[in-house]
Amino acid sequence: MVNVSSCDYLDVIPDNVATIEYAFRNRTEAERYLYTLYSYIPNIGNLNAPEHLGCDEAWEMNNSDSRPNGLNIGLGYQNAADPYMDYWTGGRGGKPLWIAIRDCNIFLEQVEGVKDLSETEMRRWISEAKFLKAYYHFYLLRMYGPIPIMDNNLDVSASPDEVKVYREPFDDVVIYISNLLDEAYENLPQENELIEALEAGRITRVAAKTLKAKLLVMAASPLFNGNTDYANIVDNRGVHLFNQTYDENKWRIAADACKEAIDIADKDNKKLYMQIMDEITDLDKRFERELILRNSVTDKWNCELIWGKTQWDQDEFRRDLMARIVRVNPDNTWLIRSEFAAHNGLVSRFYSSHGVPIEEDKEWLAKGWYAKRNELRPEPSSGDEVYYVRKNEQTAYQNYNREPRFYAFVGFDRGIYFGCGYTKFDSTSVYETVPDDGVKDLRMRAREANGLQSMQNNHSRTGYVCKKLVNYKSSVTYSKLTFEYYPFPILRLTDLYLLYAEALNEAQGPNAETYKYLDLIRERAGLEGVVDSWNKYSNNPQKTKSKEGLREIIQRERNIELCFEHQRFWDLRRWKKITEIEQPRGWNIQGETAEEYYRVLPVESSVITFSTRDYLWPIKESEMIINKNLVQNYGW
Amino acid sequence: MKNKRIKNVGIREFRKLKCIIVACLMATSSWSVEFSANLAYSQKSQISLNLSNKTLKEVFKEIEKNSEFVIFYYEGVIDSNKRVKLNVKKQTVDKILDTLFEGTDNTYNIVDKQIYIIKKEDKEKSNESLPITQQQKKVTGKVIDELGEPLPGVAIQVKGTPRGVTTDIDGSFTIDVRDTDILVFSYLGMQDQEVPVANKKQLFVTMKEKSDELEEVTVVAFAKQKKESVVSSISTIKPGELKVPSSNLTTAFAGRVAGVIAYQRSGEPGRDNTDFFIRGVTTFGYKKDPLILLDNFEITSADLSRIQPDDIESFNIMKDAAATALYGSRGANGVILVTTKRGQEGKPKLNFRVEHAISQPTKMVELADPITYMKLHNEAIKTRNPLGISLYSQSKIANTMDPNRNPYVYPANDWYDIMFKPSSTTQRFNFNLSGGGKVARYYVAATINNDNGNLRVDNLNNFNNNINLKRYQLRTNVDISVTKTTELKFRMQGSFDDYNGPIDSGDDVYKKVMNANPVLFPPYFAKDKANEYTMHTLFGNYDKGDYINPYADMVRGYKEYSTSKIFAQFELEQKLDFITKGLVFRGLFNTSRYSYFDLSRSFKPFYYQTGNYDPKTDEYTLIGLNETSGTEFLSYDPGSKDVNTTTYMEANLSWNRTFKDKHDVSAMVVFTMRNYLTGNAKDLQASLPARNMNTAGRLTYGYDSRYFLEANFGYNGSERFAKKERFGFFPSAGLGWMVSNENFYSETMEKIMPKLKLKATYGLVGNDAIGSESERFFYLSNVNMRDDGKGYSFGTYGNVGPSGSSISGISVSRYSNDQITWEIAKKLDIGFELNLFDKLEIQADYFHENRSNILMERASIPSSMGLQAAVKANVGEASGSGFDFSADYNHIINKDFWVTGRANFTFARSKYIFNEEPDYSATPWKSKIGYSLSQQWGFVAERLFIDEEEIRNSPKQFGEYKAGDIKYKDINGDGKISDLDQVPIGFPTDPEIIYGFGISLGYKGFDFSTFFQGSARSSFWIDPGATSPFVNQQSALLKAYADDHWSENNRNVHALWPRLSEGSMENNTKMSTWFMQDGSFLRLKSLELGYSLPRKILKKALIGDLRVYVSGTNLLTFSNFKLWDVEMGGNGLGYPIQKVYNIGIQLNF
Repeated sequence: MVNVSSCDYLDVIPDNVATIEYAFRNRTEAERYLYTLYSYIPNIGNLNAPEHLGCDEAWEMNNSDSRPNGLNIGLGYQNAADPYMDYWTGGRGGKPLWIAIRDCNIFLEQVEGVKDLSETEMRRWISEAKFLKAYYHFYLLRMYGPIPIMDNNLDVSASPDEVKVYREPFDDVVIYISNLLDEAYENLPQENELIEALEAGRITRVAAKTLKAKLLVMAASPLFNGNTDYANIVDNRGVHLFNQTYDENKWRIAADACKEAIDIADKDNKKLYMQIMDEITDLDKRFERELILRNSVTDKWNCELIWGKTQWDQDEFRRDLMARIVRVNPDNTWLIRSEFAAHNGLVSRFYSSHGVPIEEDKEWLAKGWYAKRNELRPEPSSGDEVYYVRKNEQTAYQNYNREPRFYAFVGFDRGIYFGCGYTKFDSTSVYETVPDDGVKDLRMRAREANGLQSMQNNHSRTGYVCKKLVNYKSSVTYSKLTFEYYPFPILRLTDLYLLYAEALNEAQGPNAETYKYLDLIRERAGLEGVVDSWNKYSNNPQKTKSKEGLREIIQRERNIELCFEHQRFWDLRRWKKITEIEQPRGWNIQGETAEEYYRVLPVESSVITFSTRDYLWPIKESEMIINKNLVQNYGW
Repeated sequence: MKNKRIKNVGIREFRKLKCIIVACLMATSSWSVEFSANLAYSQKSQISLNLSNKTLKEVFKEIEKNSEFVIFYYEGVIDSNKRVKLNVKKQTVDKILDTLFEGTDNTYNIVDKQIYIIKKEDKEKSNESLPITQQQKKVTGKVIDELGEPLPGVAIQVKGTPRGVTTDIDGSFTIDVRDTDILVFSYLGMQDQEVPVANKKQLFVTMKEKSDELEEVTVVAFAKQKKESVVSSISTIKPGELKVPSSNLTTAFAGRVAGVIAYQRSGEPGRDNTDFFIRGVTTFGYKKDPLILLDNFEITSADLSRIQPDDIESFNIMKDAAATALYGSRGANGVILVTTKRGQEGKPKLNFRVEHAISQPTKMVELADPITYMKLHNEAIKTRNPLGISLYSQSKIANTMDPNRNPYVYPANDWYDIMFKPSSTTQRFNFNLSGGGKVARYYVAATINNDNGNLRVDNLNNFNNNINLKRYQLRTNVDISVTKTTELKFRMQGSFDDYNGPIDSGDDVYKKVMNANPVLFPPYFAKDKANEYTMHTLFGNYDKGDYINPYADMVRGYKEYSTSKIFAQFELEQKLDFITKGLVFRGLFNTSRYSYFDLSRSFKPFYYQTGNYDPKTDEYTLIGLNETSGTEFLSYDPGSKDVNTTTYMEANLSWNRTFKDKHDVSAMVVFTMRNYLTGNAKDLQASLPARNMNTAGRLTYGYDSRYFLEANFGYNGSERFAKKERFGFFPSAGLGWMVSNENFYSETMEKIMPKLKLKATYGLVGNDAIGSESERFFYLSNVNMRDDGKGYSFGTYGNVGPSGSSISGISVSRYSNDQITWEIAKKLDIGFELNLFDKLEIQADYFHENRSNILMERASIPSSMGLQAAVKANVGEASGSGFDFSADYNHIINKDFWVTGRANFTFARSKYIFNEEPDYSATPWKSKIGYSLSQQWGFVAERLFIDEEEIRNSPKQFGEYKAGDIKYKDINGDGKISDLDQVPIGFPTDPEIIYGFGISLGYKGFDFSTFFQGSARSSFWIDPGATSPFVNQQSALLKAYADDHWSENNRNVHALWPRLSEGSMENNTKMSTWFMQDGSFLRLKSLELGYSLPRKILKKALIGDLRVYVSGTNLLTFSNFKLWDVEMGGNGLGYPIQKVYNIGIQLNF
């Protein structure tokens, strides 16, 4: 009995127990695998993104018990022992991108064996996998600087020596990614080949070229182009991981890549979003402008989106974004937390209504608005101002006379908040007379609808909210929040235009082509051309004429146009300007009266500092111990 | 602890059993001389009888009924069925007997109240042969049983002669003997004892129970073995010692069992299981506790906790390789073998026990008073952020201090007092009945334990929120002798738990109190005018109503759970002497079914806070905080269900023979199969049955009771491994030497040390319970083909947004590896057993164990490999060593007074031998090699930071921190505090030493026993996260922290708690020496005082035994740690360990 039954008795595995081989048995399962590759897209459009709260764009309530990981970076708590948003190991809010890359490789190795997959589809899938592989390498490269290149998977049973890979020199990784993107480009579909209902969000040719442009601009930027701070980052083979001589030619290559991407975008009918294709009629031109600007990001699949993230993987984010423009059920303030607060620094970066920085605007300086920008303006809002600030209400100087993007992108105390269920505007109505369906304004002072309710949370820490990321069709009622979702932009045409302008300026200095792409964006924002604006309104009219001056203008334009879109966080790094991060400040949100409220106070009791080491992420200490061939980043 | 059994075999039974006593009495011939003085009673008492046509037997019965006489006779001596006629009035018994025996060849002897019927010629013969010599002397004495009870009717015979006497009702005897004589004492159910007279004039003899299982024979794996021949290391615990006033058997282990490391972390009824490990923990796998077998069938520690000590026949702990090798697959962590009682042939024996216990926490956590709480909360805010806003205004603080305040407006809650009663009660009933005849014997038992928690029952609702756990247990053991050589055994056992309690566990209720703000709101408000007609309770809360109101949480509903576990077992034993002598076949089939479900019913409390308060009129308004989300009606939560089944089969062939009186040989081979299936598997692979198949064998040889040899093997198969690795072979062997049986062992030595045995074993044991429980098939990859976490969505319509449709992805939770195989334990045990002066029995064992092939994660794989699941291999290696020791002392000082004592000591230390870890050559303190498996690594806390200047000049630490926060030592000197600065700190978390000692005394009917238990060489950590005050504006503040923390006014850099904060500080909650505590303690584990009523009185009430007792557990604790009961370790904020006062009564019939 013993021998007869022994083998069978212990063999309890029935047929068809799923193992990894089952993932490529047929097209349906292989498609799941392709989706799996997409699922590793980093936390974009998500509170856990380092980019949102990691610099001086936005701030959240700082409760040490429930602090978003990004805010830990914003507070300067990054560390090597257990890094925040660690995309290398997947720890503390990061995603494990090496796993993503391994999965891409598994897919590339196996997909050709899928029997019922057509040749065309297979080629397209392979291209998508290659793109994603490149993108994940790019994301790591931007974060960590030089990284190992994982073009092929190491076997699970590889020896301990084999698995101790080296970080490759920065430029080699750039070339690798760039080539991979070119390879991917071949079989990717054009935008118009996508079935929008089913496939929007998948990779297209223009996305591949745009990412390549972004990569090459980054490679030409000061952080990675001859950065001598990193002269001593040499691995145990003696290889310098960072190039040590500045190469202007990299800008030329980058500009070419941008131009190539722009040309392909043109062919794909990509253009700046210029009009509302919607049912709202008889809209005041100011609100129309505001909606165009907001819709350029939040209108689904609009003409300037190149690649969007089709997944909202964090429900909390929308609660934090929405403003309580009406009183809501006190039971449910958590439902509309309204905690995503625009940073004081971000507010001050917007241009004046003349399209120049407020600190340069001759009128602002002459009338003392700039000096008094943080003070309550005694005169209540009147005339055309009532389109931005509720009639007869007071707010600070800096909330008046700003460019349309200011009013479109951020909300402030007494500021008009168009949309969210309220679209009828009567320029004569004051707070008490606003009809039920009339456009609301924000009430941000303590105990007011969107103000501080309790000490702990559920209010904006600075007194500003973010309007840009909220589609005007979202709505807030006494007990309900509906949020109009949209693909969060990963790549957008404006970004590409500004990259092109930047690369051109670096490669060639100011010229017509550079101005052209800047002005396209300014025009859409309702501003005059850059040269004209500076000539007319700035106290430094020559700024647009010099490379350095124009560089500053382009950078500021990026910061304004692309605010809240995860760009400034990386831009400050590649420009080597991390020390320019401003301290978080905000209105005195405990103030119940205008006089109490309009005082600027620091948000944090301690001073936040960033230094050279913060340009790049630390590699987690335990990784350094396991793989002695790695060399740690500067300063960690 | 009293050993319980039916002690006084009814005198009447004697006759039927053809007792040996009578037989030997019949052979004696000294009646008249010995007992002439004892005629007094027979002359005094007079009996009247009027009987016609009755058998002699019935006549005797009548005599016994009407007098105190007991009549003995040897069957065959008289014809007891002979019918007689008798009519006597007020006659002495001798007259009646004379009448009865007139004309027969019978006569009688009367000894006190005992009448022995004999044949006439015997009496004459005995009279003639009485040799009275000069050397003879009179010896008196007393015979008692192990409990100190006098034994009447013990036959005492002079060895080698037919002479003898019996003991009288109080166990005493007198006999004429020579100095050279040896007396043989015998009594039914007891071992014969030989006592040399020598020059003694008084003899006290303790008769020992003839229980094969406990003394002569030891239970070994799958069999029983003569105790002297056992060479492996087995601890046997008398079931009586496990009888503690607790409804949980496992709480009795610590300190009572040599070789067991045990500790208890919680006192909550139903969750108070003790963690116990045999000889410590030497594996990193998921299963660290021993294999537990109840009547050969594997059970869980939860099942074990429910077993009644009354039902236990024997309790054995198998510790070394030789003892456990046969269990192969799961014996590596040691084995606990429990066998339940079986019926004995005889009249029904009934045993009944009732206990009532009161329990209360050994120690309650002390919290700061509400005023201090507010002041320090304000301090916590300001000291971190001078811009911060104080939560409590000065007026609130001042008003709360006012004794005449309105307590609803200015609440100051002592949540502990509001929520918990100072004590709770438990009732236990235990009943068992056994008996049987030649064909069938039975043992049936029933138990009810009723445990209550100490939550305050609230009369706001009609449902009871307090914990109430009822445990029922039923057992039937039936043995049937089908033929002389065939025996069938049926065992059925059912355990059933019914629980009623709060929605959260008792532990959680306690923890919630630690998270409740004492001053923001009262538990509930009295109804004010506005709420006159409100039907629901007005619970207190604050702000948005999301603060923890522990009271509302406790009373908002209740949870019930029900557990049933049923074992059914069938066993066949067939002697195969017709094939060869001593061959026995045993087959066993067992199945168990387990089911669990819970459900809860609850409402959502309505919360209120006070609005405007007018101090002049003392009126306030209430503001509803959640009018829309509260409910007045109950809702229902179906809870979770758990079902599983196990079946087990065993076939066993054993052979046992002694050749030429010197060569004891035994051999055994056993085959077992086990199948386990759960109905609650998380994935497909986990749902597949778990199986084991073992073949094992043993060979023993003993020469002349001096030298013993034993060899074992286990050939074990497990379904978890690939085919080629599936089976493991685990042999073991042992040697024993009974020195005291050697020829050279002198008589003096024999007197000093009647027993000395040396033994040693070595062997291999396997373990398939490696890795984690969910890792079932190492040789297969495990893939989730529908992983929502890896899904993605595309497209325009509905797909963008959290509720949009998406396609799930594919993830890997294990890579296949067909190399994974058995974990192997190599165990060495060297020990001795000795006995000193027949009073002190000592057993000591040194052990060493080497575990190899321990499954562990490959540490050499960097993240850049991109593996989703850890790669594991059988590379770990650990060792464990130590010794265990037990001493038992038995001394009977005189017939009324006895003393026993015992002590146990276990030292077990584990060590990493090989741990796959990164190259720590630069920071050698990070390496685990050489440290205990439960060693903790952490930072060395130097003290608190003095000021900001010091912080600037010190290595960078974690998160935000200020003066008064913990300063860590930069071990590697790299200018920052990181993981590399973690060093081994403190002792392991599992104690390395567990010990216990106790003494029992008996004087006449009284008995007293006490037992101390201790633990040493362990550390634990106060959880700074869980004890951080003011987290979310509501965590409680320990009084100890309030009294001793760093503050700007009192900058004590060695304060217990660092600078206050509102929330837990990352910097201060790191594992460090700051919160490390010494886990050692000594406690008065139990104390018992009992009184047994004298038998004389009981006999009239037909009661065999009646004992009343009071006992207590955990009455005193000695430890350096004062915040809570030290044994709870880091879990101190949970349901506290209880001290118990118990009163009980025990009855035998």
